[in-house]
Amino acid sequence: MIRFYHIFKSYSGNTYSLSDLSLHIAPGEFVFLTGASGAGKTTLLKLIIREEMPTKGQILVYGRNVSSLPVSKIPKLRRSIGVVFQDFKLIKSKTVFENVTFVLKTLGYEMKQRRQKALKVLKQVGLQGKIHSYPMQLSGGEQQRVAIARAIVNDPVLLLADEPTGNLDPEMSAEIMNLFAKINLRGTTVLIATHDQFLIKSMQQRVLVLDSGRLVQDTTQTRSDYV
Amino acid sequence: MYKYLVFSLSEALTNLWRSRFLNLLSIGTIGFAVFTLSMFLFLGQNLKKLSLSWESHIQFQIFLKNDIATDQRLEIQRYLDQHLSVQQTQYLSQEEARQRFQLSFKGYEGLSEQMSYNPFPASFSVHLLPGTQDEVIDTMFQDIQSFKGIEEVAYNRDIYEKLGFFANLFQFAGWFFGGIMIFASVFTISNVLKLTFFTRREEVDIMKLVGASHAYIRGPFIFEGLFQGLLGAILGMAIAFSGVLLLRYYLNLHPEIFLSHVDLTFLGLRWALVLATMGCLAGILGSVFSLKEFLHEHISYE
Repeated sequence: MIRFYHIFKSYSGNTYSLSDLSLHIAPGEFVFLTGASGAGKTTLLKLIIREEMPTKGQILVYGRNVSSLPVSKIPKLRRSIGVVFQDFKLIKSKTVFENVTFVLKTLGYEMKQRRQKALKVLKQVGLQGKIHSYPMQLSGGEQQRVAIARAIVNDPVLLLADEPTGNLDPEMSAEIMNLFAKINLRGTTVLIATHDQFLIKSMQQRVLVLDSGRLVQDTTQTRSDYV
Repeated sequence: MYKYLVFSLSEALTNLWRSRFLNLLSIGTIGFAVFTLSMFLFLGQNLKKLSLSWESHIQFQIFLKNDIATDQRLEIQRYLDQHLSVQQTQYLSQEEARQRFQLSFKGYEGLSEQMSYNPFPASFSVHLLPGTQDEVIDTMFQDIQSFKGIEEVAYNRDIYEKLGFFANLFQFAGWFFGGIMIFASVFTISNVLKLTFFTRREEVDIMKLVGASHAYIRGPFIFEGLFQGLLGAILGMAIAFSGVLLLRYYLNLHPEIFLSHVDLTFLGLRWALVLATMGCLAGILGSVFSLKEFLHEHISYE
């Protein structure tokens, strides 16, 4: 599914955000990516969606070599990946429904299909009653659920989340994590970058730990490890 | 393709309305450029038309001395009648000239009566065939001046030439100033679109992240530029046309003004289409310039 082969990423000179990073994430896995601020979590996610190019090394995403992917093929890669951010990145001037359908609109879906898919996905995230609300009228947790709905509306095989609970209280965070778990149960690979150790411990999933751009731990945890 | 067009058009129209005050700046700039160009073209075209209309009715006067002998006058008449380029000749005696003056200048009839002699010379009014060449006219003048009993030959060729020159000058000035202004409006549109990109950068980021193709990201902006250009051109032409209507109305009220006898016509459909196309192109160019910079800075996939 995702393979990193000796990835180096440098933004300037000899300072590396990622250094000799190799990893493998299998289809259908639920993986946490953690580490201190500046450890390279966001850079790793950006490399997967080809927002950034590695300085050295190869990245395979579903068999596609992302490092050598022509620019014209990047949109196609991204259509198979959903992305969720800490700050939700919702369009404030559009309603919940429009935020979700906008994605489908830009991908060329017919109006009927857009409506069906958006309603289905908004029901999944429990927002069927708020389709006409604007983002500013929603709580942080609800806004993040809209962002998740938007990320999964095109049925991605991979869902990436960058600090998705960073702006939420613990209760909301748990709710969002449950949502990710449900999405994962349907077969979508989920990779979440977070520094929230409590959440990681509570979810009992595989954890990749980055430190100064290096992978220092890769383990499938059980609750007992933390007791 | 159909879906792409529908998406780009609907997004462009929504965005035009959403940033309507900012977009009015672009529309106004291009409107001013098209207005200037239209007015210069209008003046040039009508002066040209006037000059051509005069040229197609080449006419000159041969004024005769008061003491000209009848056979001398008949000799001139014969020459004119036989000349292949002469369409029509009209002889006006001294007495007929005086009567024409009295008819034309009501209130001053007594003036000519008070004089002890008739001051108006007899004359031939000569109409040449349309398109008569300058060389033929020159030779004809030389021939006429060799006849005895001729006081003066009056032919204001300069006026035709000057009119033609000014017509060309107006058209050239139109293209020159209009061109500069359209060029400037490309930059205005480009900068206005840069501002709208800035306000919509989140939207563009999202489009980029979900895998919208470059065409889908650029399309609405290109159409927005196109609409700005088109609306600007329509606005410019509408104001220019209103100006022409007002001018016509004013000239109707004041028949003594030089241009009042000219049937003033505004730019035809062909020119309107040319100007509208130019407006659209300026809009598209403006958005392409800003997109190039913006896409490179903000939504490059590299």
